[in-house]
Amino acid sequence: MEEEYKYDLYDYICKKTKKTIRQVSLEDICKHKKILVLSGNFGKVMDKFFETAFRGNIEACYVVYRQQMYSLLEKWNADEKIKLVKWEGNYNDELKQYLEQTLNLNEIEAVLYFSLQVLNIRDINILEMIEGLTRCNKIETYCMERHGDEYRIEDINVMCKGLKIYQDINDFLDL
Amino acid sequence: MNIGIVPTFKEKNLTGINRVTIETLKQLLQIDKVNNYSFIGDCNWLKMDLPYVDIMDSNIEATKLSFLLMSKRYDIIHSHFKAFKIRDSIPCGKIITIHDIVPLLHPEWSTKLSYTYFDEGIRHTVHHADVIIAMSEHTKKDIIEYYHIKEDKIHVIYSGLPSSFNENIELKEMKIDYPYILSVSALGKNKNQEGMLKAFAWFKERNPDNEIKFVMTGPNRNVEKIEEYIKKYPFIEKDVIFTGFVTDGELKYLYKNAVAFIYVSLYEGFGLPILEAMALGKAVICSNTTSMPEIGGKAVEYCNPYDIESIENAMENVVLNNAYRKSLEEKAIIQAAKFSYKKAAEETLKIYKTFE
Repeated sequence: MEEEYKYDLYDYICKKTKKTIRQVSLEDICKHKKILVLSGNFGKVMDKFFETAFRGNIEACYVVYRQQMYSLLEKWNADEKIKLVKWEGNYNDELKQYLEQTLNLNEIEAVLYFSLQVLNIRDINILEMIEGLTRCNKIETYCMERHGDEYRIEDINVMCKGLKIYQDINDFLDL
Repeated sequence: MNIGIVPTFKEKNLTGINRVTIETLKQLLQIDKVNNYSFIGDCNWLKMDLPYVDIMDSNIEATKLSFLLMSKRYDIIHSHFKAFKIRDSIPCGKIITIHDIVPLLHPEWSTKLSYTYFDEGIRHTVHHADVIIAMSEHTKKDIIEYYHIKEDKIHVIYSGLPSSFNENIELKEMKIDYPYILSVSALGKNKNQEGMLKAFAWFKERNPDNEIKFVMTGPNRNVEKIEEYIKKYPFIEKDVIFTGFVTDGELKYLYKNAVAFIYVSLYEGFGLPILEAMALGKAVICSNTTSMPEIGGKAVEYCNPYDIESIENAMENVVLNNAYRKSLEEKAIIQAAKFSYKKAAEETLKIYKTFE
């Protein structure tokens, strides 16, 4: 009985977190006119996004990038289709403050980031940063996975909390 | 027993490691009607009819399972090449299958991230595991040497031919009406495509009247690298054909109609294409390094993949000597029959039973 109760709690945390994501299509992401892209080392997936985005009616695509990613973005930047925001730090609260100073976030409709898998404990920092951006602005969050699936994060606050609780409990038990 | 299977990372088009996981599991489910199997993590992408429990994972850290295992009882956790952590006091058998440890052996072929993953995550897992399954004796030797693991903790279980290969795949004819040596491989730094093409160029130089061509097949990504290699030997340009990615039916056609199959990789944890070619009765030229002699046995023509002269000589021996080639073809089928997923599953089950 006790075991079942423990598993119910475990399962509840996982399911509640998982419920915050919904699989969407690339076209769903690209229907937004102004998108903030947090680039990652996922050249092919990024190309796929830009190819679809620029076939549509996108008006502005702000891309946060690190110098080592420039070659991945160069061909798109050549047509001045994207506006590059160079950032050498981590994707954390400092970046959020920088973006608030340099961009008009009221205009941004969606933010897109890349990951190996959508429910990824490694993304907690980037998700907390995005959560901060979405708190004061009406911005949708999307994730493109390396192997081609796309997701909308429907409740980023719950997702951050779920991942963090899961990680903290595991770390605590391993102490 | 409740047995939790941890597959490696998610893929849309399944490649080697995930295919081995699926094939072994399919056979296990056939022969084991007693134990309960489930995936750890949502594995719908593996397209197998098996229940799963949710986890939240990380792409570079070891998968943390203590919370799950303190909530739900598992007798065995078997990870297929994914690093994991479970608190030592949790009573549960811990098994990991290791395919190879290339990032540690050849950091120059790998990313820093994968080196760290093998040096930290996989290292932690193999040290805390009760049993390690290695894909070959060579991989076992590497694990002992690089992770300092006791030999008796490591069991070698070879893979077999995928069921899709055994089933009657309809041969899909391709427009190839010339004799050819076949190479099947993705482009990787360890795959030695450049050495292979250079050896073929030498072969053509020494045997200008021989009509044989060279057919390469594999995913299209980085095909420009192959074009770059060919440009170094312009006189073989008309004799080298790159098919790009082919279907299973086309692949089988290519194997069946080749004069010989060549695989001169610098490192392999197993080397499945060698087995595929042998199963179809092809004469095989392959490297005398790493795990490849375990697969080829005495049924293939070996060469030193670092020595172009040696690769070229092997091509001459197999292509120009019909009687020798025929003898290799006969031995190949017998050798290939030694490997099967049924056998792999039986040996895996034997390991599971030690935790009863």
